[in-house]
Amino acid sequence: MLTKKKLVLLLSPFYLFFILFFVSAIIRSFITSLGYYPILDQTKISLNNYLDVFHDKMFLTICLRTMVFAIISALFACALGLIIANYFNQKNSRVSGFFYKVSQLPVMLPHIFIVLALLQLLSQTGLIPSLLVHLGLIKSYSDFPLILNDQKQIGIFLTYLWKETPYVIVTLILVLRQIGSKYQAVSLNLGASKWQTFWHVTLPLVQPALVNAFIINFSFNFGSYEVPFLLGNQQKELLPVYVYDLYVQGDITQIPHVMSLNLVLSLASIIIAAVAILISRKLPGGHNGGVR
Amino acid sequence: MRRLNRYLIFMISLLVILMPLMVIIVLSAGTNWHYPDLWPQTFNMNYVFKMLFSNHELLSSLSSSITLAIGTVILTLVIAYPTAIALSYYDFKGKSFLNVLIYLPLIIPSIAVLTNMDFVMIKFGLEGSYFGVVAVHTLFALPYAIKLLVDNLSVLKNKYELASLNLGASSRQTFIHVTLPLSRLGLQGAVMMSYIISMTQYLGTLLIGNGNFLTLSVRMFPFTQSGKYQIAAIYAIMFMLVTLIPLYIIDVLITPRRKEVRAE
Repeated sequence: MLTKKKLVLLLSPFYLFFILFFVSAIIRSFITSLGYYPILDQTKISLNNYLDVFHDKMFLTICLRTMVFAIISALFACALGLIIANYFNQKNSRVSGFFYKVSQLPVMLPHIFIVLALLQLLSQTGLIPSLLVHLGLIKSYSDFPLILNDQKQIGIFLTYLWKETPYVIVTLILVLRQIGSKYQAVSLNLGASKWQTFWHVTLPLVQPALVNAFIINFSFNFGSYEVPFLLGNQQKELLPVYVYDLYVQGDITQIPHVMSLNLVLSLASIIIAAVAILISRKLPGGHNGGVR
Repeated sequence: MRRLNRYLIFMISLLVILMPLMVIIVLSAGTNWHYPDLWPQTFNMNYVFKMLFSNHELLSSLSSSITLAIGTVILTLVIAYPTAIALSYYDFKGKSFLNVLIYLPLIIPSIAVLTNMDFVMIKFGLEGSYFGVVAVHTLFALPYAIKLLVDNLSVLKNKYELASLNLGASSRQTFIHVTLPLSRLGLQGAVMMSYIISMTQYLGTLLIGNGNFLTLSVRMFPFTQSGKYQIAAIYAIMFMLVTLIPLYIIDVLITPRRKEVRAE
């Protein structure tokens, strides 16, 4: 039934769009990063920009900091989401159905919502310090630790946790429903404990979906601008803010440099995603079982 | 005891998820809310309604949000639907490559994607144009839309289409009477997701739009940054009105359909 003509017809919108906007953007920035930038009369091709990137101490520190932060916050969201999804999936379906609906809310709302609420709740003159003052637990707002715009990125961490844990929950509940409870029932019936059933049956079945969610969360935390811009700390800058500032405020001669940063970051992200997928394949449930 | 525990965990999770929304609702109507008050001194609902329905800036943000979202939904469907049909019905060379390609916009850091794309859009003369912004939103919506459609379409594969063609229906008739009704759930999911993604974009809208498209989420930014929380909260309320309510209605409308499909 499948003719070549039909396949070309089906796939051409995607490839056309993708090549025109996405692939061409990457190729252009690659050419520019090699030093070919006719606007500035630079036409000599070299790898100097890349060598600079790997000697740029400031960039490397920021890059490492952001990467560690992105991995930790994505792991937290995945772990918390896994625990909650597994917990509510066992219970009667009415509660889990309602919870599933509520969990979809954070997925649908932009990050700025939670940023706004956190500013009102947790800034030093926010509601929670006020409550603590009223309760007599702290004397004045200055006793409350700096949580937003702090050096440890707690505010950004909380924002990502609020947005991403529900995403993990929604994804995993969908997978768990698809699997049904038959495997768990068999395992319990054969004498496995609840913990053994979770570890040896449920986890391998949902593991590929969990890893996919991790990759999406990690890439977002690594490369998204708005939250670090609003809740970040200027001394401990995160990567997206650094790159954006260079791109927008820096002069035009910086463009080839920014493009080489971009490509290094993209490559780093792709490598981390590939490693995560490889690990997932090696783990139980990775090669054939499991539902993505 | 166990029951109590379960109830407690459920309530805490619910509170954590809903807390920000409650704070935003109180923020929008409360006036004179200063440290260390735990509750605003006065509420002014009239101000909220006046802002929501007659503030020029807010309404223009609303209209640019919605026109961009509609464009994104259409462009996303035009691209995602045929791709998803090819991926779930047929085997072809380069299928696994395509499967990786689809997710690249989500894997590559968005700051890199956006600055690269901005660079190309300037070259194409699309920076600041409606189509340019819609294209960026579509790029981020595509992975989700294709995934939702593939999940839906690969359950039944193309068995029904083949039966229909065997029985003498034309391929157009088959598409309208078989493929389209069968992929209804996936299409609705893809529409909802691309609508949401377009509505929530910030940096893409600002950078590629060159400041020409001040959507609801873009305008909330400076207000939040400069401490004008009440106005930001009113924008947030408008955002919820135009996303949650329509999506809830769509969801309720398709729920009975879902049971039908399962009963088959």
